[in-house]
Amino acid sequence: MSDKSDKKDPLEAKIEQLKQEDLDKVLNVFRHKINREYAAYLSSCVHCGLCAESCHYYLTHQDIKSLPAYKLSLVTRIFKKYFSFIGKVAPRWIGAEELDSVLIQEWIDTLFGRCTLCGRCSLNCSMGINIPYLIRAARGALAATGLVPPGLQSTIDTAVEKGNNMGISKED
Amino acid sequence: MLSILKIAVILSCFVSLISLSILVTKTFSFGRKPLYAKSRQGGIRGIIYAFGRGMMPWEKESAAKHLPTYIAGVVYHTGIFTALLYLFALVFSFGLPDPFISLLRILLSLALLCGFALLAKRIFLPTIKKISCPDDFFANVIVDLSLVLAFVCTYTSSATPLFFLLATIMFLYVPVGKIRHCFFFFYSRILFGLFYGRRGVLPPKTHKI
Repeated sequence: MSDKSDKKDPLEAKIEQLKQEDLDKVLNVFRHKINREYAAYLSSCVHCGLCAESCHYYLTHQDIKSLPAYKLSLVTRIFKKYFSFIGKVAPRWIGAEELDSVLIQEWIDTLFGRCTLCGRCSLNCSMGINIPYLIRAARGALAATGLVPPGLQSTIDTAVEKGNNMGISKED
Repeated sequence: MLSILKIAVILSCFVSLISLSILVTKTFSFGRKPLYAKSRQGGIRGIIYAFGRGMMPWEKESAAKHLPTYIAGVVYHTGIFTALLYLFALVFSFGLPDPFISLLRILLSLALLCGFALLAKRIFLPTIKKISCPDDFFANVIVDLSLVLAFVCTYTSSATPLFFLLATIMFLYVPVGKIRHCFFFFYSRILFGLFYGRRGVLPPKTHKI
């Protein structure tokens, strides 16, 4: 039993141990990353789904979670819940949702794992929403709380330390 | 009774406009993002593209690949704006010439068909259904009903009070749900044009080989 818990993904363990102050930190950082342009974008999606084929992840997997509008909805849920009046009064009606460990897990899986921030969805959006910038803001909020997939974080750490993500020394 | 409903339509329209202004003020309260990079060509060309050529289906893969939905959307929104004009013509008792009424009926019936088609798509297409919330369905239904009543009103004035009542509800609902995109569409497209225009990405350059 202890072997099983030892092998547990450190990120998963971290998510399980998330406290309210951690969630508040994510929200606080997210709030500071939102400017008036982002706030306008977050109020604009009409859920038309026309962005589907502009995403190479969606083309490959045909999975709803790779649909740019779905990825954006993960971010708008929070924006609506905490920064809009209707989201506080009637959250279900407009698709607002409270930030909890389940949503954090989905943010990590989807926003880190299903987007390269290429921006094709933005160019193809009927409303012109800059989806990658909003995903980046959410990623920033996660990163500030250390909620980054370990594989990705180690690549970044190596790049910062060695000057390249492969960890190749200057001599080599 | 009709006079009271006319006042209700006008008042709800004002309430809607004021609420949208509050929403914009709230959006502005989030502050401005500092821009450090030098602008390549200014944003105006991007904005012109965003509202012109950039709206055409051949400029956007998403529209080109979903041409029936794109056309349905254009017809639907044209019908909605036509119904709004007709609503205010009724409220302010402007007499409309017969040929215009005939054109109105054609536009409204086409818009209605498109509205129902878009609603059906939202109900039956799993991907769209999954990203939809009750507000999406309600907004579509309330607008479709308005189109139905506008259409009926071109034949009989007995439906006018109901049309006014529904219009009042719809105006009050605008800032609450997704119908607010009647304003945010323009806001977002301007930002889109500014963003890519400033970077020299849009309008796209044609390269000579």
